[in-house]
Amino acid sequence: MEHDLSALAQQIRLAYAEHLMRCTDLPPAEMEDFLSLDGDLDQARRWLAIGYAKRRYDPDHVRGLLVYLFSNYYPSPIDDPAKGELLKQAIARKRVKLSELTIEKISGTRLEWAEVFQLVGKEFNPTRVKERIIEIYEELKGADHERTAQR
Amino acid sequence: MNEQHNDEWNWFRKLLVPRWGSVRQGRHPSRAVLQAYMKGQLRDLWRVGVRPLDPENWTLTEVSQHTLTCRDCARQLALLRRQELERSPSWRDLWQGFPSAIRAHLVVYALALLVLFAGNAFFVMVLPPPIVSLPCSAPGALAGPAQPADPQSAELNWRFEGLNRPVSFSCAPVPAPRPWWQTWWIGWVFLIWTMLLGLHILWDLLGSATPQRPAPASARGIGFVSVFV
Repeated sequence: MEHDLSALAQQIRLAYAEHLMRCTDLPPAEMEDFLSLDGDLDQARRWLAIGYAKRRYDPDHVRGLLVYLFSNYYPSPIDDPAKGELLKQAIARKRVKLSELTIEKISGTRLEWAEVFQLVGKEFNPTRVKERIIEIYEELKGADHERTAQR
Repeated sequence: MNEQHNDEWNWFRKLLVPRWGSVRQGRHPSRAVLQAYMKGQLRDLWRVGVRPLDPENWTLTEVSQHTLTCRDCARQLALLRRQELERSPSWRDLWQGFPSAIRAHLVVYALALLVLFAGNAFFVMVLPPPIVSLPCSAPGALAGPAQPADPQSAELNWRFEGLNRPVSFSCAPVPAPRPWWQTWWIGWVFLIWTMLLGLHILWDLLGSATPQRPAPASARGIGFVSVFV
């Protein structure tokens, strides 16, 4: 079966995101080549920044942020209102764990921050988490530029 | 400030590029696999872009990624979810439907009753029943109605009239009635818990009446139980 490299790289990045969310991810250093399989270094760096942030700071904060992002900004292939309803019920009844979720299960469910906090089991400042991830991204970008300049 | 906030979100939105095409083109998870996926029963492995020989061998991520791009499978999943939502609620759902205060108190009340019943049964088995002695009476009087024997008149009879020889008096032990706090303990516990339940529900109502704002972490720890204790 022929694979479109770009589609495969995108699939790898989403799979990595899903594993970051479920906390079954591999070390970011091991993922570096995989994530940039199609040569899109910027996208790879962004996901790596999230992976490093999860190891450097509270992993649950990063996982919560990912849940919110996929829930509100990732489109669902079809309109499935039962999905959101079931997920919100499960969160309210504490019958769902972060380790059971997938991107498909949360995409398009439009969770609110209160529901994300309940799912994660703690409250956090999303702006602070975002800032930290972007800081790490800038660090990675700077390190890459230095590496290229040395060559 | 707001601009910076939007920039941050844009930075993250760039990550969320919708997928197109499935790497496992032409292969679709069976209904059984989709049901297992919904119940979270699939294996959670790091496996991307490989073609397993077993068509039923799907990982959690593979099904997730496939259904993100395959509209047919997404529709099947939506149907399964709709069926699950419309299913009659189980006892667990009914239980979950109660307000949390009532649920907590029912559990505590049931536990308290269990402990008290078990404790009571233990003491009844282990400890001898409390007994009291009836007022002493002569053996001859046992057949008749119980009358309090009067040692003074018996002595007078013997001394002046030579009638009765001194007789041994028997004092029969009989079980004592239980004290009030043992007889009515269920009602006692019930009354106390009813009051606590009322207070807890009131606490919850007052809490829900206030606007829903994310409370600070320190304030969230203050619950009914901690305040009550």
